[in-house]
Parts: sequence; C-alpha cells; structure tokens
Amino acid sequence: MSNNKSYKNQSNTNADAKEEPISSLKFRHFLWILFLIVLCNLFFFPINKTIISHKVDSKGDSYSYDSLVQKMNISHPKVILLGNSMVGNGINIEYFTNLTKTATYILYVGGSESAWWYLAFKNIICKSKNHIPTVALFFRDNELTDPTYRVTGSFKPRIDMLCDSNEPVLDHLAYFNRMADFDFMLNSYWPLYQKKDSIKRKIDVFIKEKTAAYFLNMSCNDLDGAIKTVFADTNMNKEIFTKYQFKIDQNASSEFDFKRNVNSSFLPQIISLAKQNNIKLLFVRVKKRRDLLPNSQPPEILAYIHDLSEYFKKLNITFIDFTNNKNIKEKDYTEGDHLDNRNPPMTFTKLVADTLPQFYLKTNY
Amino acid sequence: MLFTTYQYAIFLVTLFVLYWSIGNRKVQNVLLLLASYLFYGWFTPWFCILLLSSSIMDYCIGLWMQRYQAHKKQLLILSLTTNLGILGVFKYFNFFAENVSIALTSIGFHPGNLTLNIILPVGISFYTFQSLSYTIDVYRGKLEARKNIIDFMLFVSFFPQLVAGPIERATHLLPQIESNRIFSWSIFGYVIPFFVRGYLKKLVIADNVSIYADKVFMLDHPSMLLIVAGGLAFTVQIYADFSAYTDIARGSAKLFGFDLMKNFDFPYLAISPSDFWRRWHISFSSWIRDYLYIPLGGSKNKTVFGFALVLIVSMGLSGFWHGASWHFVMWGLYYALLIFIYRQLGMGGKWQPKGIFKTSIARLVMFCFTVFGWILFRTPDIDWLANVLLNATTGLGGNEFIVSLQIIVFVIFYSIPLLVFAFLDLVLPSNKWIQATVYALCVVTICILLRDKGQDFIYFQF
Repeated sequence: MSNNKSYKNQSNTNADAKEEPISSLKFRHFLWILFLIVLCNLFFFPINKTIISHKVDSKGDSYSYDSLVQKMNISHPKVILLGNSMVGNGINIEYFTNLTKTATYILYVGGSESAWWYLAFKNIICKSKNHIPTVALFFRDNELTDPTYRVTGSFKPRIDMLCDSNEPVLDHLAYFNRMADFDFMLNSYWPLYQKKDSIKRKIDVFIKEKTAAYFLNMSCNDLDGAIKTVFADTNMNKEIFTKYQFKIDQNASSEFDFKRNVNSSFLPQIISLAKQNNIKLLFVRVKKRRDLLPNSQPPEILAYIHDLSEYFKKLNITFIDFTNNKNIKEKDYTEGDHLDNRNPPMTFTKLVADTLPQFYLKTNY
Repeated sequence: MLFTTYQYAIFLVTLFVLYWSIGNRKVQNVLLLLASYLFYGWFTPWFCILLLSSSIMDYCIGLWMQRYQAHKKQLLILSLTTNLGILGVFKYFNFFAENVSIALTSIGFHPGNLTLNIILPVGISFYTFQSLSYTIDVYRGKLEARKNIIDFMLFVSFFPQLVAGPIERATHLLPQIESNRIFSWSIFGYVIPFFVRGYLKKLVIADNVSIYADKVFMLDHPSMLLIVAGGLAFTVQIYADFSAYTDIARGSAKLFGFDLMKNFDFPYLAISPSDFWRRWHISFSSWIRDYLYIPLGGSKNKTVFGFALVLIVSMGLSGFWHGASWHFVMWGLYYALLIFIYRQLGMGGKWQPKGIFKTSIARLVMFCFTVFGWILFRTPDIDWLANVLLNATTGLGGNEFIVSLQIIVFVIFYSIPLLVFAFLDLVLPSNKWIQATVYALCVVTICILLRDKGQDFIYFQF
C-alpha cells in the first residue's frame, strides 16, 4: 500500500504523541537571533592575538608554580621523579629516599600528561636555582607522544599555572595541533569562543562564592579543598574506579604510531632541554593493572614500545620498562593503575629504588 | 556516528543538499537508506549485517503473514523468537551465563568461564522493538504488509532514530516514507529550535552535571546526603541527555520532511508513577503498554494478584530492556510496586488531584520517588547499593555536607535552561520573539559552557 499524497498536512497518527509546543520560527526571528549573538560577542572584543590565553588565578593553589617551586626547594633534591599520580600515588618518597640515600622529590600533579610534564621540566626543573642532575619521568604506554591529551577543560588551569608569559611550543603542540581547522577558525575570529575557558571559570567561581561559600561562610579554595578530600582517589570504590579508568583509557588517544607522532610531541623538546641543562633523563614505563593479565598488550602497543626503545637507544637515553616485571602483583595495586605507596611492602617503591640509582648522573653528592 | 561530532554535521549538510536536489521520492528513500547504513556502520561496519538481516527477515515475515493467513501466528512467533533471540544473545547472554555460573558454584559445581566476548551492537534494543511493532501490527491486521523493501528497510534503519529512538510505530513512520515530501524553508523554523535545545541539553547540561553524578557513584562509602545529591545530579543528567538525543533526532528528521514522535512530556511534573510513564520515554512505554501490558490483561485484570503479576512482568522486563543487570530489573520492579500501591490507594490510572496545592504535593512526592528510582538505575551494582543503604552515615556535617550542598547548587544552576524551556512551552508557546531571544542565549551558552571532552549519550548503552 503506497500513498503518493503529500504528508505535509497529515495528522499525527500516533495518539500518544501530543501536540508539539515548539512552534515554527520565521525568518525575522532568525535575524533577531543572529543580531543577539553578534551583540553578545561585542562584549568580548578584542580578540586575543595569541589566541590561547594562559591567564589564571592560582593564588593559594597547592599546584601553583610558586607552591611547587617552594616545596621542591625545601627538599634540595638531586633527583626528581616527574609524572602524574602513577608516581605521586605509586612511590613512597620517604621510603624511596631512605633506600637510595639520595635527596629525591616527586614533582607531579594527578591527571597530568606530557604538556604539564614539559612545562614542569622547562619552567621548574631547568630554572631551579640548585642544579638537578637526574630526572626520571614516569609514564604509561603512549603518553609521551600525545601532546593534546588533558590540556583543556579542568586540566587547563594546571597547565596555565606553569606557563611563562609566552609559550609558543606548548600552544603549537598542545592546542593548535588538536584543533580541527573549524575549531582554529572559531578561536581566531570568534572572541566569545576564544574566551570561553576563562568565562566558564569566572561563572564557576561566581556560583561558588554567591551560594555554597556564602551560606557556609567559606572561601572558594576551601570548597575546592572539600571536594578534593571527598572525591580523593583513595575514597573511590576500587572496582568501580578501575572500570572507570579503563573506560577513560579506551577513550583516550589510541595513537600508537610512534614514528608518525614523535616529532609533533613534547618528547624531543624535553630531551633537548635536558641536554642543554646537563640533566640526566631516565624514562620509566609503569606497569598498568591490566598488564597483570597474559597477552594484555595488543600488537600496536608492542610495536610502539619497540619504536620508543629504539629511539631512546639511538639517543643514548635510559629507558626502564616495568611492564613485564613479575614482582608487581595484583596485591600491589590500590584503585585503578595506582600502586600502593602506603602499606608495606610498597613493592613498586622498592623496585624503583633498586633500579634507578645505577643510572643517576654521577656528581659529588 | 555521534550527533555531537563535526562528522555528523558534514554528513547531515551533504545529505540534505543531495536529498532535496532529487525530485523523486523513491530515489530519496534509497539515498536515505544508504545514508542510514553509512551512519550506523561508521564505527563498526559489521553491525549493518545484523540490521540488514533483521530487516529482511521481518519484511519477508510481514508478506508471508498476509499471504498465509492460516500460519500467521506461527510466523509471528518466528519473528518474535528470532528478533528477541538475537537481542538476547548479544545483550543478555553473558548476564545469564554469569548468573548460571554463580548458581552452579553455590551448589558445588565449577563450570568455569561461560561468558563470551560479545560486543553489543549499538541501538539493537531500539530497532528490534521497532521492527517487532511492524510484524505485530501486521498480525493484528492494523497494518498491511509492505511490498516495497526499500521503504520497509528505511523504516527500520532511519538514521535519526535508529540508535536511541524514539521507537517509531510503522503506522506513524511508514506513511511518511511512502508520501512525497515537499521542501519548504519553514522547516528550519522547527529544525533550529530542536537543534539548539538538543545541543544545549547535551553539551552543557548533561555533560557538566555528569561530572558530579559519576564521582558520587564511584565512592566507596558515600553518605546519604551525597547519594541524594548524586541522585539529583543524575536525574537532571539523564533527562537532559536522553531528551537531547530525541530533540536532535527530531530536528534531523525534520530536515528531510519527517515528523518523529515526541518522546518526553515534562516527566518531572508527573503526579503519579502511571503519569510518569505517560511522560517519560513515551515511545518505549507506549510500546510496552500496547504489546505487553494490555495483551496480558493490563489494568482490567479481575484479581489483585493478576494485576500485580502483569505489572511485575511488564515493568520488570522494561527495566531489563535497559540493561543486563539486576539493578535495572530492580528499577523496573520498583515502578511496578509504586504503580500497584498508587492504584490500591485509588490514585492509579488517570487520577488527578484537585486544586493547585494537592497537585503540587503530588508532583513533589512523585519527584522524590523518581529521584530514588534514578539512584537505583544509576547504582553501579546491587552490592554497592546494599552497602550504602545499610551502612551510610547521614552526611549532615563535615566535608560531605559541604560537597553535597555544592553539588545541589550546581545541579540547580544547570537546570535553569530546562526550567526556561518548560516555561516557554507551557506558558509562552506562541511568543516567538521571546523564544528567539532564548535560543540566541542558548547558542551563547553552548559556546561558553560546553564541556571539552563530551560524553556518550546514556541511552547508547541500551
């Protein structure tokens, strides 16, 4: 049965679908919409010529540049362990320092990736008043060659806090790289879109200040502190959090072509900075929880790691891979991929302490 | 292909231009069919084989039912068993295998790992039900079997509603597919509002509120107040997310001259659980009502026990449709219990309280029941929920109180656009200038508040 009549005026045959309240707008209404959008944008001129703004209010933040430098200088480290929560939550610094008999500091922020590591290396480690001879950078799989991972949204303020007044390499690799041409165009010519991150942060602060903080007579920093405490990784249900992290991992970059990505990543930049500043770089690959299972690494990861090792060999850079280390077992993990740095035997801390010192840059210390 | 990607925008614009350049309806339908399969197979092409098989099978069964009237019951059973069988294997096999394994282990047997490595095809629950509605309606004589296979396949696979509904009825969508569509610039008058609403709800509301909901439901020992705050966050998230998908689907369909059914009717203004199910996921709830609840006797069951049994079956299966997990079944049974209690108290069916005050109380009470229902729905698993209900503190002090309050404040803030839309639809449906102003502000808001790394639509997992 075919019906050749136009459906334009046919009534809805489904009795459950009620009358549509969304009414049709006319052309003049669209002109009004366009006018209002343009008007809103006028408030946000001029366009920032550097496109990526790194202005941030980091006062009182424990991960601000000043806080991190201050904490680092207190320990006068000769060795820095750099990374994210894999090293921050995985290594017990007191135990490690005792074992290695070397002043060590862990420079990390949870959730950070290669962009933050690059900035920390460039602006904190290389500019340290006391020369730091050795830096060990901890990573998982392909994190070293994904410059666009975790550089926006809630991660951007962390990046901004470590930026100098001008960061062309960061902007190029982390932001311009990731922008589709359309995104780049919007950022270049649409002031509202360009400033959205800072506007969103201001709205967040406004909501907190005028509501929760107001009624509770607290500052926004205290509110943020409460959130960090309540939602700390240690409070998460181990199984659920692990599944969640695995899901994030799957959705993260799956770019496992090392040769294609290395030159547009922060890896050569970090290596170059290390050479210029006479710093011995060690790269440490952390064992992920799923690597406890047999055949956990698909062929593309194996190929990537092979290329990565060859790259390090050519540059005479030490690469230590704990992925196949059989001493790390299920009981050594807490939630997700975090290794236990609180309860004995702190296997990972001991393993790293046993392995790393032989590669330290020899200086008089 | 996801609605919230640049690829979808390019796909839609290209298809729109090609579609309206073609004057012939049959060629338009072929184009839409090819585009629908491209859309569906974008990430996993082999899913299209399943969709194709299911479509061809039901097409043949429809024709055979019409030709061989004496055997139409057997043919219907064939359609039901095959469609539900495929759904069962892909969606529920591992669930049953795990539970059988647990049961056998508890009595001393050790069957080993019975699960298979099965990927759930996206949208299978939706298009299976849509296709079944066709064969059932042909069986009942409500619809004539279609001879044009292209039109029928397009009905099953029409891309805007293929992956997450609305679950269209053949009596509603097929006549549109079989009719000529006439282009008019006025379609943009509907399309733009649908898209603006949809993208605001998804990119701004759902994606931002989900941050808090996800964190609360990952905690090991959340307090009661935190659970309530997380439940409120999820209540807003799931409505924004799912209704956003429907809006974008309807806007996309409208671009090609199709009207898809409305799927939500202010569900959080419901006064009773029956009313809630007349407002929430209307295409699904009406499907359950017409093809399961009423054939089993529905509210006309003479005994209380009979009525309760029908509710348990209908609502239990409704919950189970959402996911292969016991907490989804619990969620369905929870609503069965609510509907049963309300009915026994004389507040079932189309009951309407008298006066604004009583109506407001009824809405508030039902909203609280709804939030609890969403907590059941969102809970990671039964063990987690049991642990929380038995051991949780109240959370009326300390950091948990502060965080709960903060979450509630953020949820209220991100709910403002939903309240504005409701106000526009209920109070100012004909004031187009105010609507236009609101849509302009929506566009600005999307630009500012959209979350950078978006989330998948929730109902994709079903």
